[in-house]
Amino acid sequence: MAIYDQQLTYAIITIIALIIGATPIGFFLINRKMSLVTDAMGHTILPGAALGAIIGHNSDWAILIGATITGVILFLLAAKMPKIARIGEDTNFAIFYLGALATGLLIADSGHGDVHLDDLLFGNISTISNTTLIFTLVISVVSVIAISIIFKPLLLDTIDKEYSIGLNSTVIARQIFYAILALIGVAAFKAVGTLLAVGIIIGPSAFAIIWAKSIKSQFIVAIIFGIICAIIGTIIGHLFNLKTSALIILLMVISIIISIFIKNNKN
Amino acid sequence: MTLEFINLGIGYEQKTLFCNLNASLKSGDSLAIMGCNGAGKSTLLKTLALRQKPNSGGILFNGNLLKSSDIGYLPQSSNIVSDIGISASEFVKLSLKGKISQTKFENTFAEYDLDKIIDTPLNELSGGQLNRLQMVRIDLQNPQVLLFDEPFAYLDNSSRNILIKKISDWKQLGKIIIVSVHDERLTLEFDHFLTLDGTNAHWEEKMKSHNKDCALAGCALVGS
Repeated sequence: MAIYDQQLTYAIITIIALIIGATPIGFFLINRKMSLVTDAMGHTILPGAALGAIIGHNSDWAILIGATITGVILFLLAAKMPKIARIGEDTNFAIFYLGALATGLLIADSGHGDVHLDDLLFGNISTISNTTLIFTLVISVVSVIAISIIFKPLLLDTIDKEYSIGLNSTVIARQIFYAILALIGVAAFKAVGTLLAVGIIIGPSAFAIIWAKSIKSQFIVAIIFGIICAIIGTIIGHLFNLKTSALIILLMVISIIISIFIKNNKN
Repeated sequence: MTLEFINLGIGYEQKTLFCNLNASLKSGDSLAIMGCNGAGKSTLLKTLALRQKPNSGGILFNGNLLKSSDIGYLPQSSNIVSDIGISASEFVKLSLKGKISQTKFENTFAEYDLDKIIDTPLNELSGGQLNRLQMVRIDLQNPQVLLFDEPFAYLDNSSRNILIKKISDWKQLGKIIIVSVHDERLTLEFDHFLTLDGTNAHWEEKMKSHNKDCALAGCALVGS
């Protein structure tokens, strides 16, 4: 029982750290209209994660390293694609994501090793180890620091692309943003799986945008809301043996839908 | 103060719009960039604004490579995402480096008839106010070279008049002004004219500027 409680503590701390690190990223994803593109790109970490699980016998480090490598490489490649090819950006991303998903499925289902595809796709709270906890804490701290450094140029680029495009500060800010997004994506994947990862990144900001006006208050509302959903979801999942990742995302989604209806009625 | 184009060539990877332009502008000079749609006016301005690399050659300002702190740039169109939760003043501050006194800040807003909306959320401003806000941004950056991409094509009358007055003030202060224009009947007087036709660039001084032969194939300029 004591070990189980430690597991719960690990899970809650990991998800809280994740929400703090991911919320500023989510704010920019939503305002840059990148939510769906990122959702698609979340799957690029699957082949690396599956390969890591096979080679490292399900060790967390192997899965995280595999996921990070394919995630970062494929994400940066996809972001570079529009300049190389002249098909639409959304199609580019879709092609990458489908290819990654197919490759990941083949690797996971190849019969080598004992890969839990279910855990890779939807996360598993009972697999959150101190490795995952440390990884998530480090990524979240890096994310918060990096975003605060590039905040001004990234916000300018989000608001006024015609003006900011091509400026050195914009180019650097975008590259850092994409790199941090890939890292946060990997951390989110380990907590809630590839299919729900983007939910935990954009969910809190989507809620906050409905209720808060200034950017500062949006961040505060988002983080508080995200943490509340994470704690409630994790505890319910623990008590009733339900899928924690699904509960957290569902709590966020229901709150967002109700908020939209309340706001709509007010206006 | 000089702005020199040295063997300047612009365009994209696949398309060269002109090459080997050598010319220079000095303090208080103004240059009108003319040409048909697609001739490269915006590309040239983006290149001068350091938003795009030249295909060849370079741009020198006072003998050194042009830096982004030397220039102020008003793009041809703006697509400002205004509903993000910031005020007009916060928006302007995003592109300013260093401290600017509150008095200077407020006075500049007032010059553009925006003193009442300093703290107004961006999404409550009108299109005209947003245009003037972009001019406030340039003004507060206090650059030596000012670049305007077809500003008169979309500005409303009051913004237009403020800009025309401002340009003459800036000229008096010795700044270099470069404006792309679509129509020769402009109220502004320019010192130099650069006509682009998609493959060449013709540099002309004021007196020769109204020659009929600057009209290009498929795009007759309206004579004054």
